[in-house]
Amino acid sequence: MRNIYAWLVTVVIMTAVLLPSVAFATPESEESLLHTIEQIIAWKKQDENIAESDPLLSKPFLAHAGNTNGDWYPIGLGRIGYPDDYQAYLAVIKNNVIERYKTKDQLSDMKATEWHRISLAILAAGGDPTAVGDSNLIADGTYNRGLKTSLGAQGINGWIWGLITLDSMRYKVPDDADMTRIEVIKEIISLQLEDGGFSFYQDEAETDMTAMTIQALAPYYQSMEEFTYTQKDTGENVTKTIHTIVDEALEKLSDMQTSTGGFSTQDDDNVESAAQVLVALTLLGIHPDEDERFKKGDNSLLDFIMDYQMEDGGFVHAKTYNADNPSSLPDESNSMATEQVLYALVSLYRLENGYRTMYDFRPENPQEMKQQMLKLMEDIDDIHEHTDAKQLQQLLDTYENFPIEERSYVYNFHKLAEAATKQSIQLDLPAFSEAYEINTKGNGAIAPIYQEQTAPRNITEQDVEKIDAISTPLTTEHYIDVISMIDQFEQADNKSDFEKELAQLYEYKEEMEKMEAEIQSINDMVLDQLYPFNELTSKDRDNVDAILERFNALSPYDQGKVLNYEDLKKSKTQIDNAVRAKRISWALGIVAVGLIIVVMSRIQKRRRQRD
Amino acid sequence: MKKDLLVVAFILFIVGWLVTGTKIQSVEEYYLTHIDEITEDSETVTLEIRSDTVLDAMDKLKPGLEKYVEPDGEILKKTEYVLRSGDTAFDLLDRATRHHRIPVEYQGADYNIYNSIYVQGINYLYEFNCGPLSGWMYKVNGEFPSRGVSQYELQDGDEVEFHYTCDVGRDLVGYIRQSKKVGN
Repeated sequence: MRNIYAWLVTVVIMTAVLLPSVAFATPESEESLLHTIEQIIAWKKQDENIAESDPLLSKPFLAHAGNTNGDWYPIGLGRIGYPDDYQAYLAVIKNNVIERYKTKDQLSDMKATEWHRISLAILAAGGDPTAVGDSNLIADGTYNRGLKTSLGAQGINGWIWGLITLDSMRYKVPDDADMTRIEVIKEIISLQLEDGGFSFYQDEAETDMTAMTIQALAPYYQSMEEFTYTQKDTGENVTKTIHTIVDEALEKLSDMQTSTGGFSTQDDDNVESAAQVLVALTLLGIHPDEDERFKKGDNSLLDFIMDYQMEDGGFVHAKTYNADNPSSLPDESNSMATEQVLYALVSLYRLENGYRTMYDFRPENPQEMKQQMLKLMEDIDDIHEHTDAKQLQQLLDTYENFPIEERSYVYNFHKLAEAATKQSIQLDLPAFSEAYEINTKGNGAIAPIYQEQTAPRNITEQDVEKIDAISTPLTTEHYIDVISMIDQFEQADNKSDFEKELAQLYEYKEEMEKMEAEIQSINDMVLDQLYPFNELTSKDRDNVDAILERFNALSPYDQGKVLNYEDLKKSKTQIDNAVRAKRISWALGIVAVGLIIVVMSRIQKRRRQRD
Repeated sequence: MKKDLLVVAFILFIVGWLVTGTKIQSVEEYYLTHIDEITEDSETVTLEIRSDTVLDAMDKLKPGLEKYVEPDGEILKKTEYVLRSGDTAFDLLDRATRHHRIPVEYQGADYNIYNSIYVQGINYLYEFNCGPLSGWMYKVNGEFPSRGVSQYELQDGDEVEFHYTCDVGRDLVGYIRQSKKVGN
C-alpha cells in the first residue's frame, strides 16, 4: 500500500508543473490511454459498419439501445465524454423503456439488472433515469423493486448492481420505500464466502463477481461504519467495516491473479475478468501499477489487458481457442471483451485525472476541493510512526471539513484512522451510508474531458430532407431514425416552424408501431393456428390464406421479422396440395360415376337387344 | 364388350386412387411437406424436456407458477425427430416446441460472449423462477455441453434433453461444474 502513495506524491509533484488542472498521470501515459480508448471507439464503429466521422450512437448501433449489447458502449463513451450523439441515444433508449413499460413485466420479470444497466446508461448519456416517461427507474429498479420481485431474485448480481445504481447519484431512499440502502449493503456482504471472495454459485470465489462486489462497496471503503450481520457461508454473526470486507476480497483477488498478471474464469485467462478487476481497483483509488498485490513478477494487470488488443483496435476475449466457445476466436476482436476494456480504461483515466469514479455520476467537485483532498492524501501518506497526536488531529480536522458525502474520495483515509486510533484519539465520524441520501432526480454528468459538445439546437433544411428520405412505403427499418428525429425536432429552438414535419414524424412513428404489432400478431397466429402442420387440412385454408395475405402486405424488410417463414410456406403448400387433392378426387369421382352410368346403360341396352 | 371391361378397369383404378388417398405433388412440394416425416433412411435425433427438479423445490418456486409445473416433471416425453442438415440443439428445440405448441422464450446470440442463443423459458418456466440459481440446461447423450445451445451441431442418433435446474445443475444427474459467464 505504501507504494501507491509514494507514487501519488511523485506523480503529483511531477505533473503539477505541467498540467493546470488536478492530475495524477504523466502526460505520456494519459495520452496513450486516450489513444487506446479512441482506437476502441474506432474499432466499434467499423464493427457496426459506421463511418468513422459518424457518431457511434447512430443506426445500426442504436437498434441495440436498452439491451445488454447496446448499453455498455454508451456508458464507456459518456464517462470519457467522447463527442457523440447522446441525444439520439437517449431518445431511443427512453422510447424502448416506455414501450417495455406497457407490458406486465415492464423491463423484466425477474432481472432487476435491466433497470440498473439502463439507468446507468441514461445517466452516462446525460439523462435522468428518474423521469423516463412517467416512470422512475431508480425507484422501480432499486429501493422499490421488492414490491414486485426481490432484487436478489437473479442472484448476487441483482444486489450488486442495485447498490451501484442507488449510489450512482447518491439517490435518496424515501421513508416509505420497500428497502433501505443499509439493507441492500447487508444483503451483499452477507454473501461473502469463507475464502474472502464472492461468487454467483455461492461456492468459491470467482474473479468477476468478487470484482463487481468490490465495485459496489467502493463508496463505503473509507467509512468507519460497522455492520453486524450473519455471513451465510459460515453461518457466523460478524461485525465488520466495509474496509475490512473489501480488503479480504482484494487479498483473495491477489491470490487469484495468475503469473501472467491476468485473471481467469474457470481456468481460462480472459480479458473481461481482468477488466472487472481494473474497474474495482480504480473505484477504490488504487492504481494497479502501484500496488504490489496486483503485480506478479514483471507482469502487471495493465500489461496483461493491453496484450489482448488486436491490430484493428479491438480486444480478443481469450488468447487460446476454446472448443466450447467456438465463436470467440483468439485472433478476432470481440465486442463484449472490447466494451469491458473500454470502460475499465475509462475508469483508470478518471482516477489518474482526478475525476469522480466511474459509477459516480454527480457533477464534479470544484477544483479547489480536489486540490485540498490531494494535499490531505499526500499528508496522510507521509504519516509515520513518529507523527504526533497533534499533527494527526490537524489532519482529522482537515478531513472533517469535507462534506461527508465527498469523503470517499480521500482514498487513503484509513491510514490516518489507524494512526489516530493507535494514539488513542477518539474517532466519532458519521457513517457514509446516511450521508448518501442526497438526490431525488437530476441528469448524469458527462465528463468535460473532450471539448464540450453543443448539439445543434436548430432544425435545418437538411434535417427536413432526412424525413423525406424515409418516405413511403414505410417499413419499421426506419423506426430508430424517426424516434431520434422526433426528439431532435421537439428539442429545437425553432420547433414552431416545423410543426407539420413533426406531426408527420409522429404519424410515421404510430404507423411503424402498428406494423410492429402486426408482425407480432402474425407470429402469434402462425404459432397458434398452424401447428402442428401434419394436422392441417383443407378446412384451414382460409386461415392460412389470411395469414399469408397479411404477410405479403408487409415490406420485404418486415417480412424478415416474421419468425419461421418457412413454416408458413410449408402450411400453404400443404393446404394447396390438400385442396388440389380434394378437387381431383371430386373430378375423378364424377368421371367415375359418369362412366358407371355409361357402362350400366350400355349393359342394359345390350340386354334389351338380346331380349 | 371389351370396351366395357376397359371402362370398368378404369373405374376400379379411380376408386382405388380415391380409397388409398394418393396425392399429386411436385418433388419440391413433396419434400417441403414431408421433411419432418421419419422414413427408413431418415437421420434422427430425440428430444426430451423435463422439469423434475422443481418438484423437489416447490418452496422456492415463484408464486403463481404452480399450475405450470407438470406433476410428473415431463414437459415433452422423449420423441424422435428428423435431423435436418446443420441442425443445432436449439433448432431441434425450436421446431419441436413449435410443433407441440410449447411456449419457448430465448435471447438472441449477440447478447452474450458465447454468441449463442440463450434459452430463458420453456412452458412458462423461466430462469430465476425457482431461486437465483435456476434456469434451463441441456444434455446431449447424457453429458452437459459447455458450449451454447445454438453452437451445438447435432449428429444422427443424438439424444437431447432439456432440464430445468433450481441449483445451477447441481441438482441434475451427471452434472459436473462448468463455466458459466454471468452478467447483465
